[in-house]
Amino acid sequence: MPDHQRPYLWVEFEKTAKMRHLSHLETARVFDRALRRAQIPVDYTAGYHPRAKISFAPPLPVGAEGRRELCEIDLAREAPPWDLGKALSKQLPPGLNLVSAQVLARGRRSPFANLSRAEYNISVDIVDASEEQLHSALEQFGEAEHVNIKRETKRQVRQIDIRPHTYELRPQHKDNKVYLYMNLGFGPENLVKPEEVISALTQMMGQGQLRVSRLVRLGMYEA
Amino acid sequence: MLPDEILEVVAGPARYIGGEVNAVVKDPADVEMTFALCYPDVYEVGMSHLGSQILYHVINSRPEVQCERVYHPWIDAAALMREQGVPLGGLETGRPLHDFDIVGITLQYELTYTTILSLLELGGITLHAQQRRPSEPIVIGGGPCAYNPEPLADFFDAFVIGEGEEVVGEIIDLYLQQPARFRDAVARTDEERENFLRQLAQIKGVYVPGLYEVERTEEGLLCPRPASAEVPRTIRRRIVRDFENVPFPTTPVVPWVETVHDRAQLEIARGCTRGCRFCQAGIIYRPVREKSVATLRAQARQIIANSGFDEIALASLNCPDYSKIEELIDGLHADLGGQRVSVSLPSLRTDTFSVSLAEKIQQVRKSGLTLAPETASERLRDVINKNVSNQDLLAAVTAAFAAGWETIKLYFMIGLPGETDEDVVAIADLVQQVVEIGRQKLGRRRRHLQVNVSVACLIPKPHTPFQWRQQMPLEELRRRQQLLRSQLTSRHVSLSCHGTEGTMVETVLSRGDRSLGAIIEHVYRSGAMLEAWREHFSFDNWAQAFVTEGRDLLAEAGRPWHSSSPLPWEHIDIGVSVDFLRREAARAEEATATEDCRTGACQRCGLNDFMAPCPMIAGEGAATAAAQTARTEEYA
Repeated sequence: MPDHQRPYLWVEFEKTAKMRHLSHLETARVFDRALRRAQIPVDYTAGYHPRAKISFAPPLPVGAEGRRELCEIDLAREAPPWDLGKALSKQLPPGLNLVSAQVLARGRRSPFANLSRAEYNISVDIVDASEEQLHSALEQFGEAEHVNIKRETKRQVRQIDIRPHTYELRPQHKDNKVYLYMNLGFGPENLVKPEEVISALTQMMGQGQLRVSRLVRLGMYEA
Repeated sequence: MLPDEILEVVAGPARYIGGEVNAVVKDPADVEMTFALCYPDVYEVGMSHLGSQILYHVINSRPEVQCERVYHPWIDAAALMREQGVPLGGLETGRPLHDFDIVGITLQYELTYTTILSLLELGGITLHAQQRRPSEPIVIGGGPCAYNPEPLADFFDAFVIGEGEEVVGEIIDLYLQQPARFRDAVARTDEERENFLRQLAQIKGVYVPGLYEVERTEEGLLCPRPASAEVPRTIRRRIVRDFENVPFPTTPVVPWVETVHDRAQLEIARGCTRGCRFCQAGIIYRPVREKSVATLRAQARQIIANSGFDEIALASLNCPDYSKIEELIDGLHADLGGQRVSVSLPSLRTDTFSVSLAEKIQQVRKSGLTLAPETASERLRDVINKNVSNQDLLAAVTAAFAAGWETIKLYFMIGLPGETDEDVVAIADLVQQVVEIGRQKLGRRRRHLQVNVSVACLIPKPHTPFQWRQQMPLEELRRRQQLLRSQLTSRHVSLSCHGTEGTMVETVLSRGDRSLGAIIEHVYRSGAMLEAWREHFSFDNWAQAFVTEGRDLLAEAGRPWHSSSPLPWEHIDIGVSVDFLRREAARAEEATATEDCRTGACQRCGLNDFMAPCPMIAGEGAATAAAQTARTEEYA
């Protein structure tokens, strides 16, 4: 079967509990080994160093959780009769929990190419400042037309306006803890990183510091 | 298992979380005894060690015993644990080290000795065996460095000499036979602890240093003698006779993080008969024993099905010597190739057969090729009894380049007995010839040609024919490394030399006596740990510790010993006789090679008396030898 017609396995999974300490690469290796244990017919690259054709959504920082992480696995042949999702789920460790799995026919574009929004829920500690100061910073952020931050890439430091691509930003309170819900741009043109919003808010607070105590990526989707 | 506050700030947190696939966690209600299996280095190194994996499997196959893995944390985590008073514990349940019944520590390398002390203290265990409270764990060492346990004698309650698969069960049995009062630990008295250690000393292969006194020899060395008639004068090495059926883990723990040897391992044989005179492993793992192809194929299939590794490495001291190596590789490819599982050989001899094997083996994935000529001088090869020639090496690399390899690694040693500057320069000449062959054979691809040259310094090791020899002076080793460096100018060559200062410390520790305990402790107290990592090794710490004790490290490394006087490890009977070692030392002086007993005559190394009969003589060996001879001729 030609490559472009081969089916693939589209997986949504949760990365939580102890598994949040795994790096992106480590997570990929866990999948590679789980797929082999589950005897799922994965497609491999050619050449001296064959690798399973698996791709993941852009990395989560080490320590962060994901509620609906994405992974795409190329299959070497038509979907076999058994339930691939169940077989894979049985081999994944607790903390990497399958949310859904389906075998899809290969389209022309990778589903990752269309991801343009991501949602986060971030629990924060307010250090040396009051909750009122956070709230006024949030208000200031909401009313501002531009919020410029500096983003360092390998080659240069660029000035970026994150405000237009911060689609939602609101506080939530639960069990005496402060959470920030964010809906941010995730595509190549509109990317905003949650830590950039946090640092902009810290500046707007005027004093003290906003510290991330747990970052949760709720999901990524096509707007 | 570390608290979240530490996990969130340290490098590589996944190495501390446990819970890996195939890790064994038992219901506490079923567990009557706890056993910590420690490796005195970080997780990535310790998890790569096959011996520890085997023992983990052997101990945990007893339903009433919970065996847990313990590794030394990296510098950042170690500092936070000390600061916050978080004790080091097992990866399975998090039990602190001081709360285990038995703590086993593997002794693989002299430069881990300070890490052992750090590991004990991080785990809340008193460093000195004599000062331990009766309730503290029984601390037992084992592995290659236990063949001279004296430098560590102060810190261990006991050592196991030899292969652990059987004796570890006997130790567990003895522990479980003790009265409940003893096992409860809290109520245990000093006398009960001593009584247990005396019983432990009765198990064959177990050395309890506290039951021995030291006597100073004429040369000033401290040699242990039994303090009472009830303890054995010599401790005989344990050897597994039925190697075919020895337990082997087919459910290996699958690490989260990338380890040093990030693959499954399959032990195909134990022991080596080549008899290289510098090689301690070639002596202390005798005799040669092989597993059958059928057993190995079955084990490999199970290992891959249970772990999902994409590579399986064959393990033994010299894989091409395995008598049915080609049949085995073909079988493994047939069984596993479809799942894109590659097979690899860790170490190769320097001949064309090895290269054709390497070619055969790398059908799935191609990696670098490593060859170990050790020296470039035919005379020195006869001194160290490495029975290959420069012609063999050149034929091997010609075959390798022709087969498509572009990167070749070559291992050499300097500091050999009788080595001259010409011998050192000869290494550079030989490497240059390899480069020339590579340029010719690779043609247009020659810009990819890479020859990596790794140069170690000879370290005289206990139980080898060189055990009486001195180390070459530090400055001299440095000068020779420099000489070699100045001769290796090709842009295709990269040279890496082992540290000369580390070599000096390894030398004194490997041949040392019980008086070194104070020095090791001194170095540890000055902040040393994880010294197997070059960036954390400090020679000044060691030199200073010797000075503090009124001694001179370099002078001690440079002292030869008389071959007729007692040595600190003479009570350790490994089965190879001192007479054989003396004969071999004399032949080294004369630059005379000794035949391999697999293909030639029995060299009377002593093993046939020790385990009577030696399998090499008793039949298995004879069959193996016939196959080997046939094959050697085929490739000649």
